[in-house]
Amino acid sequence: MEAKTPDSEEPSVAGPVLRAQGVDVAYGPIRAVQEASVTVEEGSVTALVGANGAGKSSLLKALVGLVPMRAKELSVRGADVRRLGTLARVRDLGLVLVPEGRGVFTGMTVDEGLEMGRRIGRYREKSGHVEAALDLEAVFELFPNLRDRRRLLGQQLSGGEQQMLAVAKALLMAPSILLVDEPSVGLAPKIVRGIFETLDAVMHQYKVSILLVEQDSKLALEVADYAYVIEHGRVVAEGTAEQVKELPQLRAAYLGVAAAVAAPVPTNNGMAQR
Amino acid sequence: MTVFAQVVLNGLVLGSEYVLVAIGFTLIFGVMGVMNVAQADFYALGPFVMIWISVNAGLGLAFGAIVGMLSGLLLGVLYYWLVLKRLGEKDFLAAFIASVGVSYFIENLLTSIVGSQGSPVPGLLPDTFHTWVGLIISDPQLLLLGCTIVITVALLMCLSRTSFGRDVRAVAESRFLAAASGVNVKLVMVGSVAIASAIATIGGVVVSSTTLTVNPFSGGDIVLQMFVVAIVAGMGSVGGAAVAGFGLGIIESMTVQYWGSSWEMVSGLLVMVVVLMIRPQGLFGKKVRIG
Repeated sequence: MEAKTPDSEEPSVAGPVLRAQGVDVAYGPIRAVQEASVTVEEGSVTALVGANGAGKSSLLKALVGLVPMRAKELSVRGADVRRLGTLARVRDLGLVLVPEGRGVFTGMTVDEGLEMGRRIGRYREKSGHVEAALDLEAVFELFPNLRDRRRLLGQQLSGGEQQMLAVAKALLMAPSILLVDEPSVGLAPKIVRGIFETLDAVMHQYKVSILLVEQDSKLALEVADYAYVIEHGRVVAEGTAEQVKELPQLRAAYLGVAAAVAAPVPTNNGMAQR
Repeated sequence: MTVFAQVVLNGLVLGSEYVLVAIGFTLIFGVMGVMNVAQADFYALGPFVMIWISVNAGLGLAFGAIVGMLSGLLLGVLYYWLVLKRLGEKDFLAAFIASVGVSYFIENLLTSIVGSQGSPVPGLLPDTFHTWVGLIISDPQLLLLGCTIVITVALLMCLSRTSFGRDVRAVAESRFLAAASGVNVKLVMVGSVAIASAIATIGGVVVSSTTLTVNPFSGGDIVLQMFVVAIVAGMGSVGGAAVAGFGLGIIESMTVQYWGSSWEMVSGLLVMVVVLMIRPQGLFGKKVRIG
């Protein structure tokens, strides 16, 4: 597979920031993810697109160690992380998840939530994993709304503000890769656009790599450099965002299972297939 | 009027006992989702450890009292590591039944060591009574009431002001989200169990100083009240458990005074049924379970 380098900047380290090969996730007898392989290049936005229930979220959770998984390879900047627990993956390797449905504690103030993120950032600074973590001021510049809401509880925020808080908290954790799960769910299109613009800005300004799970594939492919199409727990296609946009599979994934059955997916389209 | 005030004061002293077992019980429920029946038995263990150290080993009352009070920290860690860690995350029911088993184990272990008769406890303070505007209270009772208030306030402050307390609230709200936020979930759990157990052993030592006796079933005897207090308050609410604990003490004390001592238990359970009919989540129960 040819690695695609983002056009705007050159990655400082050769090789991907995240490499996952042959990932299996099973909940009892239900196999949510099968033999999935995903690579995220340094400083890129990689999207996982596919229908609801395709296993995208399960894959993200598995990467952070929140659900049990098996993998042939799972490495962050070359370091094998398969035997590490969630805490080590978050603190030491900077695998930071922004969970689905607003990763916000409803009973905590904005300040408290941000401080939780800042603590991890400080740890990563001190232990030399990163040179400098973002500070509160930088985060408030990205999300000016949060500045006036510092003393409000998570449950008092609007849906959009909750999502902003979740992303802000994750950024303070000085991630080496940000795993963002369905940021658009339940939000007004205008707010979603704002959040995606911020993600885009963050990626360029702070050179954060992003692995984005998004049901709205059109939206995801606008910001992504590279994308994987997931169906029934398997990676069925991958390519640059431009290539994936043209895929017939995407239409199927977009519209759901019925469309996939009605219009069988062609096996080869001139790009990497699984 | 003086009689009424005295009854309320007696109720607060009685309620202290309930508060000291119930806040730990509700803390463990909030963090781990486990109904830890054995919580009450740590309450009996405290005074026994104190007796063994200060009387049997002859190491002095003060030293024995401190070790007895703090023995809960170590016992709690051991209990978490042996039982809750293995069962608590897997299955709510398994952990509940296991805690019942541990409760029986502790009671019978103590019985096999000291017998089922009450053992005399050396009081921490001489049993001097004070009269203040017609109200009578003894030094050991004042100590009990003071300890209860200090411990409750300290725990609430810890939960709301410290970073450990913030982690505890995070885990109580969502273990998943807490882990994703880089919270050391295991440390929060073992820490909460240790704190809860230590509060129980401190409670046991301070209460036994007012009763001057303890037996292996001292804990088992107040399991029912512990449940009533935690459920009426709303499971997981520490502040609520303190209010409900004192409230139950006052209600029981009034029942004894105005209704008859045989009705003591009935009144508390009656209150529980009525509260649950009106507010099934408990008086202070809410979606966020701790705080």
